[in-house]
Order: sequence, then structure tokens, then C-alpha cells
Amino acid sequence: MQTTESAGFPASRVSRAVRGILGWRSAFLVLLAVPALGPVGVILAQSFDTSGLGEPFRFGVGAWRAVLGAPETLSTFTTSLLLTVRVPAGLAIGFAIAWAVVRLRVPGHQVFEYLCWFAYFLPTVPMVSGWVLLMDRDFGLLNAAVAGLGLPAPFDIRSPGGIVWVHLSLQTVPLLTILMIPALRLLDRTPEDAALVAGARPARVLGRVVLPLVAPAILLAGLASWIKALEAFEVEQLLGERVASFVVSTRIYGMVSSEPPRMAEAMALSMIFLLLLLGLGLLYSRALRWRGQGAANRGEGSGGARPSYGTLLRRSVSVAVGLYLAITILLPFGMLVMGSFMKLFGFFALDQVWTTSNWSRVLGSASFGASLRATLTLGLATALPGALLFGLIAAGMARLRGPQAAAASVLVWLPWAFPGIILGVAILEVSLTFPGMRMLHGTIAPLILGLLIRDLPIGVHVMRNALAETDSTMADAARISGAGWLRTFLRISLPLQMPALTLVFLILFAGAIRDVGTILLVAPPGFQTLSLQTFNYISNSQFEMATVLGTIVALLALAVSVLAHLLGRRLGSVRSAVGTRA
Amino acid sequence: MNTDRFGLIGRRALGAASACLLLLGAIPALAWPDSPSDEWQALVEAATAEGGVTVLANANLGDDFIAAFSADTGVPITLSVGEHGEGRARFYRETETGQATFDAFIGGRSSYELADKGLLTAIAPLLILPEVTDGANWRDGAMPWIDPAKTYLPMPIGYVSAFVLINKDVIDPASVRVWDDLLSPDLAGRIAMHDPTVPGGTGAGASVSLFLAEAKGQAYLETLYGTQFGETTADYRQLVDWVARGTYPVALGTRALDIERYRAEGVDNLAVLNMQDVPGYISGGTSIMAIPASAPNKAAAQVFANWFLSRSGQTAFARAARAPSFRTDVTGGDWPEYLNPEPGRVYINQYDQNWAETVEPALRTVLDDVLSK
Repeated sequence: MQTTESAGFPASRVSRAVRGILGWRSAFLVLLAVPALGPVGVILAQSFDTSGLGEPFRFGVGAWRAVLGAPETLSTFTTSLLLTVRVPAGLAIGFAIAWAVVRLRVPGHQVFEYLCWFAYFLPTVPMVSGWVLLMDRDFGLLNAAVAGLGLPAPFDIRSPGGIVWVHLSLQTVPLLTILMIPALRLLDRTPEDAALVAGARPARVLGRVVLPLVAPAILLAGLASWIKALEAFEVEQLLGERVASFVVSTRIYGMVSSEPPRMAEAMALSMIFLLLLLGLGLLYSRALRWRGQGAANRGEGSGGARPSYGTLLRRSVSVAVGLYLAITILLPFGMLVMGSFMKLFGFFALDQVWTTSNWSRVLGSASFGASLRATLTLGLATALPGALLFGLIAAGMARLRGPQAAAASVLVWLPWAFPGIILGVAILEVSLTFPGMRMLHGTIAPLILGLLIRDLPIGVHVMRNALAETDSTMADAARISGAGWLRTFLRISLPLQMPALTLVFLILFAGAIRDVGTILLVAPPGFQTLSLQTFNYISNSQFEMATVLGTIVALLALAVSVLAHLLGRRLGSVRSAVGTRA
Repeated sequence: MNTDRFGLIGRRALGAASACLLLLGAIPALAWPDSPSDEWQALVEAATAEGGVTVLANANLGDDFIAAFSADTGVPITLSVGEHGEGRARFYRETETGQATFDAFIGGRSSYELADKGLLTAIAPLLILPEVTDGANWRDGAMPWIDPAKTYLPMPIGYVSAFVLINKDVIDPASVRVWDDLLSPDLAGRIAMHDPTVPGGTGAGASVSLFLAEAKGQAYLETLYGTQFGETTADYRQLVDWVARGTYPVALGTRALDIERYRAEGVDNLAVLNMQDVPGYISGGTSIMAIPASAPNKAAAQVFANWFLSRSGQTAFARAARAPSFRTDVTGGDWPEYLNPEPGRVYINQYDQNWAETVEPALRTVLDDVLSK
């Protein structure tokens, strides 16, 4: 190739730069940047809008002054950070369970793993009702049991401690366990066995051999979980009523739902929150790549078999893990079902405590059928195109190298840092203010868009992992035979990735049917999913109806989790990506 | 909730088909109103052709309200939850950007500024049913509005608020007769209150506090907050639950809906007391109707406005909301007696725009001052 010097730059370099700018890779990056950066741009612009009702945009910093000058800003950030104490606690418990399931392979390990999947897919909002019935300060059954012993009631679910516990039991621990199980499976058993043979006790093997080897995976899981913990909304909104606006996400919701809405202030607060989360998101993205390199250097994949631990230890740990999971997952689920048969939720001092009328009222209402249809419609409309889209994005990313690959990786992970409620507000503003989007306002398109943006990181990550583990011989043969990239993807890669695609479909489907925060503000009139209706029932203090709907959604989740678990077992290491949802 | 909104083309086709059938006489004549005018019939046909009306409203209205409207008018209706924060946010943002996806909103006293800025449709000129416009059908001789122009924001429901809920197994009802009785040392730390700091300042806790600031003064409010309140909560039902269990035997800022739900299930220790010295204030609850200027189905919105303010509409709404209507021909409904304003007594109307703009700001300052201590 001939090169000529021009202003100090080789022509070939200029040519490459131009091709890079105009090529499909750049277009691909731009397409990724729209959903990843679009919401941030909208929130930033709105935070500087000081116009009055119905007036055009007027630039100002009034909202920023108000937010930064309010004492609640610091206190809500502090509370939000304090509540993330559940992450280290969840890491410890989750690691212990994962170790028991994988390395000890305790009796019942498959059931324990499945229970974690079940908890992962359970709808959080109705499950809160189960914990309320157990740990409410005034009528909680656990408190009543303790009070029966002559002791003061120890639990209060409507407190920061109660909120931490609900997250820990229903989300943090199950998801961190799912995340760490694959990392432990990939560990070579040799050093562990060597330590045991050399006479080390199990606790010493755990602390000196296993933990150091999986430390990168644990740290990565902790970072991902910390981001999600900071942006939690529903549990805080439902259980934090006694301390209104006490975390950042609920304060943002309070501003948005004020009369009139304080949108600019909500956006300014969101922007501060987003900057913190985006920083963590970037850190996570970098850590993910670092861990990937580290894993390759360790030569993972050579182990996975059970080291020789004693039977007594395995049985004891099995009982402990079984008890923990039964108390934290099955007990509140049972309470949820029980609550759906109570005449007055949590009120046992009645002549007739139980009734089936809640079920007949819910199932007989005209809105139930519509809500069920809306739920399935949204689940399918999100999961079907989403699985294919994420597959395409993953395939596209596999063809990127160097800085472009790094940029794509960061863009894909950015939505991980979007709290659902902020994403919902951003989607609402986009659909109201962007000319091209206005025609979609009042349809379910903005909902689907919001859910796809929210699940972009996890969906693409699952597909990237699956693609990386697939033998590329057939695809290479197709390309050599003259098939184009798209044709190769559709005819070769796609069929090969069907299990991973199905798993992504289930993740998206389960996410759509249980979501509240993202779609709360953009659901078109008359379109109410079962989860939204449950949220409305609870917000309206109709717990009896909420528990009925919650039980139905939980049963749907149960079916999805069975399918996902079966697929997950077939996919092996793909599960590691799913776990990052924590 | 009973009709899917997103199938716009399908809805319009359904509406057109219904209109054709109506014209052909295939749909039985509706029994309401008694003697419909040609103008009304044409309006209903136009509303049906539009595909129906979408209303953003209280989730408690439910199936009976929908069924009543459909039976009376034959116009399809979609009821969407609009009383909570997200519903209000949508109402504001869609109305101010001129892109409403709904035709009518039924909610609290929140729309003055939208009306002032011309973002709402004038409802008064849309009312064509004689039974709605005839002042004789309304208490005080005219339908109440909360906007000074009496054009945009009708308030058809009005009930007495600021009642005191007690557990009569714990507290003797005769010992709480006037507001000063709440300052009794016996009740120190035993009164629960709805949280007055709920964002937007529109909850019962804030309203009761503003009422007490106006009726009894800042010193009274300071004592109440300083020594008498044990706890506040933003959860209305929890207040009633606390009183029923005796956790806090007295509560302020409770909702009749929750009280009556507990009573209906057999909780018989609740007593509601209206204080005898200052009789509380009038609240319109979530009954204020507004129609955005950008409402997509104008005829359907007009049909709904007329029906909502008619005897039939108010009967259905008052039953669902369990609150008395200002209509004189809607009586004996399923609401508790303590909500009825007593004849001859003067109540503050906190929904009135004049009160909200001239009196409330100073009271808010008092409340903020009390809360900051």
C-alpha cells in the first residue's frame, strides 16, 4: 500500500480513521450510545429547565440550587449509602451458600440452587406483604411469638433495619449466590484437595485457599450488587412510609409526584445520583474486563469436582443452608399466600379471620383479565425482540477490537446504573418532548424501550458469554463459503445460541412482568400489569387484594424460574452472567 | 382498566361500528337521561364514534362505576389509576405539554395553575343536561366549583374532615369533645397523626395541621406536635390499625374508607368524633374533575362530564368514594354519617382556590415553623 505524508500523518492512518468513522462499527457504537446516553442527556437538560407550567424551556440553575441547598439531600444520600450495608452481609451469606452448594455439594444442593433462582424471579412488591405479616411491629407473627415468651417484640419491618432484611432475604443473597456458584464451579480442585490432604481444617481451606482464588469474582459481584442496592425503590417506598422521602429514589419519586411536580429538582437530584452510579458503573465495567483477563490466566475450567469434605460437615451445613433458605424465601412466600385468605390483612383478633372472598373479588373483577393480558403482552413484546436484539448486539460486539470494543463495553454497561424510577421519568420526558417519539406516547412502545434499556447490560452479557463459549468453526465455514455476516448470524450462530436466547427471553419476560419502577410513569391509560396493579393496591392499603395478585404473579415467576433453572443448568457458565443481576 | 387503550385503531373501528348500530337502532335505547335532547343524542353518537372516554381517576372507583357509566351512556370507558403520585405526574406533564392520553381527570385540588394558564378545557359551557345545570339540584343552590371563574374545576363531593378517631375501649368518647381535650396530659404521646411532610403537602396530615393552625393557632399546634403526638405515618391504613389495636388510642388524619373497612369486618371499638367547638373543614377528596385542553376525545369527555355531575353519575361516584355528594337528590348513600356537613354550621373549604392562594401560604409558614422545632 502506498503511503504519502500529509501534515505529519501517514495517509494510511488517515484512511483508516475515515473508514473507522464511516464504517459499520461507528454506526454500531452510535446506536449503542443512544439508549445508553440518551436518558442521561434528557435528565441533564431537564435539570436546567426553570420554566413554569406550559412554558417553553428556560435555562436556569434554580433547581440545582434548591437541591444542593436542601438539608434532605445529604441525609437521603447518607441513608441510601447506609442501607447498602446489606451488600457485604449478602456477600458473606451468599458465598457460604455457594460454597456449600458447589464445593461441599451438600445434600439437597440442587434444591438450594433452585430456591435461589426462584427467589430471583419472585416479584418483590407482593413478597414485602409476606414479611409485613411476619415482622410488623404491631401484628407480626414472629413478634407475637416472641412476645408470647414474655419478651419485647424485636422486629419492625417498617424501619431501615426491616428494609435491609427484606432486600437481603429476597434479593441480595439469592442473586449473589447465583453469581458466585459458577465462579466456584470453575475453580480447579487440586489446591483445595491438597490442603485437605495436608491436614488443613475445612475453615482454613476456605479462608486460605478458596476465598483468595474467587476474590475477584466476589468483589465484582459486590460492586454490581452495590450499584443495584443504591438505586432500589419499591421496598423503600412501601416500607419507608413512616419516614417519607428517606432515600434518594423515594425522594425523587416524591418530587415527581408533588402537586405540581417538581420535575427540574427531581432531575437535578437524579443527575447527582446518576453521576455517582455511573462512576460505579464504569468501575464495574473495568473490573469485569480485568476479571476476564484474570480468569484466563488462572486456567479456569480444569476443576469443578467435589473435594473430599467430611459427611458430618456436609450434613450440618446442609441443614443450616436449608433452614436459612426456608426462613428467608419459603416462609414469606407462605405468608403471602396466607395473607390472601385474610378478611383483614394482619388482623387476627376477629371472629372470622379467613375468607376466600379476596380471591373471588380479584378473579371476578373486569380489571383482572385486562391486567393478565397486559402482563403477558408486555412480557412477550419485550422478551421476544429483546432476546434477538441483544443477540445481535453481542454478535456485533464480538467483532469489535481495541478502543471500540472498550467503548461498546462501557456503553452496554451504563444502563446498569439507571435506577428504574429515573429511567421511567427519562422515558416519559423523551416521549413527551422528542418529535419522533411523540407518536409513540400513550402506547406500550415507551415501556418496552425502558425495559430493554434497563435489561441491556444483563441480556448482552449473557449472549456475549454464550457466544464466547461457542465453537466458531461452523460460522467460519459459512463466511468462507461466501455467506454475509447477517446471513451467518441468522442461519448458523442464532440456532447454535438458542438455549442462551431462550434464557435471555425468560430473564426479560420475568423482569417485565414484575417491574414497577421503570414502567410506573409511562404505562398508557388502561394498560396495567399485574405488578402495577399490585403496587396500586398496596399504595391504596388494599393488602388483601394485593396478596392475591402477588400470589398469582409469584406462581408465574415459579414457572419461569423452573424453565430458567433447567436452561441454566444446561448452559453452565452462562449462569455467571445472570448472577450479575444482583 | 376494562378496555385496552393501546389498540387505538381497533377502538376507533369498534366505536364507529357501535355508532352505526346505534343509528340503525340495533342497540336498545338507553334509559338515561329521562328525556334526552337531540343535542345530547348527537353528542353520545359522536362520543361513541370517537371510541370512548379515558378517565384518570381513583383506583377505588372500580367496576361498578365503569358499569354505571356504560349502562347509562353506552359509551366505552377506560378507567386508569390516577390518584397516586405517578397518575398526578402524568396528568400534569401530559396536560402542560398538550399531549394528553386521557380525556378527563378526577383527583384532588391540584389544577389551579393549569386552569389559570389555559391548559384546561372550560367545563361549564360543556354542561348541557338540565339536571346538571339546574341549581335546585345542588346544595346552596348551585354546583360548587373551586376555581373563582366557576368554569374549570367542579367539586361535586364535599365531606367533613378533621374528625378524631378513637379506640373507645381505651378512651372514653365523652372525654374528647372539643379540640383542647386533645391537649390533656392523659393523651401525651398517645395520639397518632398522618405525616404532614408527605411530598406535595397534600395529605390529610398537612390538611388537618393547616386547619388547626387556622382554627386554634400556632401555640396549639406546637403543643400538639411537641407533647401529644406519639408517631406519624404516611400510611392511612396503619393509622386506623394502630387505633383498632390500641397501639395509639387516638388518631388524626384518618380516612373514612379505612375506618369503614375495619368496621365492616367486625372491628367494633372504633369511634369517630366531630369536635363540638370548631367543626372541621370541608374536603372534596379526589372528586375534582378536570379536562385537559388536549383531551383526544372531546365529545366523549363532554359526555363524561355531564354524566359525572348528573344524579346517576354522582350516585355511582358517591357510592364508590363513600362520601356525600353536593347534589340534593343523591342521599342515603353508603357513606358514614360523620362525613355529612351539619346544617347551619360554617366550614372552611380548603379546596377553594381563594383560600388556597390567600390563606394557605401563611398557614404553611406556621406549619413549617412548628415542624422545624
